[in-house]
Amino acid sequence: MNPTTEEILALVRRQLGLREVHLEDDIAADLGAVSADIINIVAALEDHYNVMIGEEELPDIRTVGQLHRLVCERVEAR
Amino acid sequence: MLSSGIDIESVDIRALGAFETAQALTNEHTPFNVVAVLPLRNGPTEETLSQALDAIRKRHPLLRSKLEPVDRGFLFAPTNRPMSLESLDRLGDSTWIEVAERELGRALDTESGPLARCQRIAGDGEASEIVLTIHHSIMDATSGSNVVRELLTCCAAIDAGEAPPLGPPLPMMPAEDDLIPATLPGGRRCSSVAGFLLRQGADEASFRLRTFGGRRPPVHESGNCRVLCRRLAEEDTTALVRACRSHRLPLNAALNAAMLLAVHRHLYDGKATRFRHLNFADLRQTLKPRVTEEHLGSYHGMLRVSVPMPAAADLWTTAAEVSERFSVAARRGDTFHSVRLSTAMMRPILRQRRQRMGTTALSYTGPAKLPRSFGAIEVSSPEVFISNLTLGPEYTAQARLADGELRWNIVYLDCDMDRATADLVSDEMLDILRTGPTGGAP
Repeated sequence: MNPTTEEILALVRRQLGLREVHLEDDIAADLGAVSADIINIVAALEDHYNVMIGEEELPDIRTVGQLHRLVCERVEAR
Repeated sequence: MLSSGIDIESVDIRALGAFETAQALTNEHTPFNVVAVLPLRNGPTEETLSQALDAIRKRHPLLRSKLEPVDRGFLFAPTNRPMSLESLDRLGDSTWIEVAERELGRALDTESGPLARCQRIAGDGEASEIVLTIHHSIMDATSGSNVVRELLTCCAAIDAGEAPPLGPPLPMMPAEDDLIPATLPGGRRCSSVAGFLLRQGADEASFRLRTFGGRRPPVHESGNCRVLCRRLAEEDTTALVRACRSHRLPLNAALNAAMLLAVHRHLYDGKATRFRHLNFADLRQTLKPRVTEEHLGSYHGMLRVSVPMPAAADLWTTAAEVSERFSVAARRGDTFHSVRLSTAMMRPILRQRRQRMGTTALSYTGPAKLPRSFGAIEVSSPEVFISNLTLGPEYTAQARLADGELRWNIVYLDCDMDRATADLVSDEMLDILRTGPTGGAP
């Protein structure tokens, strides 16, 4: 089943310890995530939705919305 | 020679930022160049390349600049001098290595400009190389990759009888110091700088204490850059990426750890000590406004951390240590602090010449995105090297992903080690990365 927007937002909030996260937020520039945080988020999503996200795809994930779309694509392609 | 007479109408001039100034000051000690080697098949003729260089020069203000010394800094000021293009005979597949090593130590005439030059290595066969030498103060990995793409795009268009398909001349962007977002930690000019300086001082004292009587990177009067290229095969790279993911660690941390461990084992006999390690971060995405890849420039930062190296260090423990130290520093805003204070931190190192900046340095630039063909021109993944200096780290490397493989471009100084030792270190590094995924379950 496709991840809902709220599921992704909740996971990012939890990983970064933030109260408020929006789909349009830039994960690094707006939310202050460092590379270890981003890997934690991606790895948690991979585990939860049983998908894989390639290393070469990471630089293209800038916003929470892009991350959501990528995970949805992977779940649909499974 | 290139056609000259480019009509420069803009008044592209600005003071260098702090990190750019640190790079320009470094250049006064030792040439501080980025050398990019483009391995080609059906490469451009000298005439085509000359025209393509003119085209990218027209587009990028920093390729029409020189460094003008002022007070205690420098200005990027316009110059009409064209980028030099030299043609060299290709005597074999390794000719480019000698050229790259020479270019790493050959100063650009920064006071006259431009801050770049080009060489074309060609012979009778289809294979050739283009070697671009660009001053580090005007280029980082992101914009360097874009300039290479633009250059080869222009070559293909010119070969096809078309005009170079580049956009209009770009404006000169502000220095990164002026684009650091105030909303992020370390973003405000005065915030927590005192804390950063205190931590630096404490780290210095701790480093001296803990390495007292032990081996430290030696300071030499002079030395020449030597290069090595290494690859981690695709299946090993894939396994490493998955292992990093299951350990919840960035690939960058594992690469840094492998380098630290290999140097520790071969240059320090594996004895317990501390290393100073340098790592680099692309800041383009974090700056406000974001600086896109089309703008040539140096928009990255450097973090230096002290890493404990116990006698029995292993990949994942060291990678976790490295990751934690970089994460803590980045969350505190130390990346931005070190950008702003880089000139002040670099001056005493260059003036006193008593200690090296570190033991190791790695710049991992992620996946390479250069297309494999431009018209009839075929290009393999570029090899990229950065000059090291006798006050720099003992072992330095660029790493990136290309065609599924992890590619390493290593630079060492011949005053620090011979080729056999450099080979040993690099072989060990790859071995650690190959065997890492099968050892040390998360």
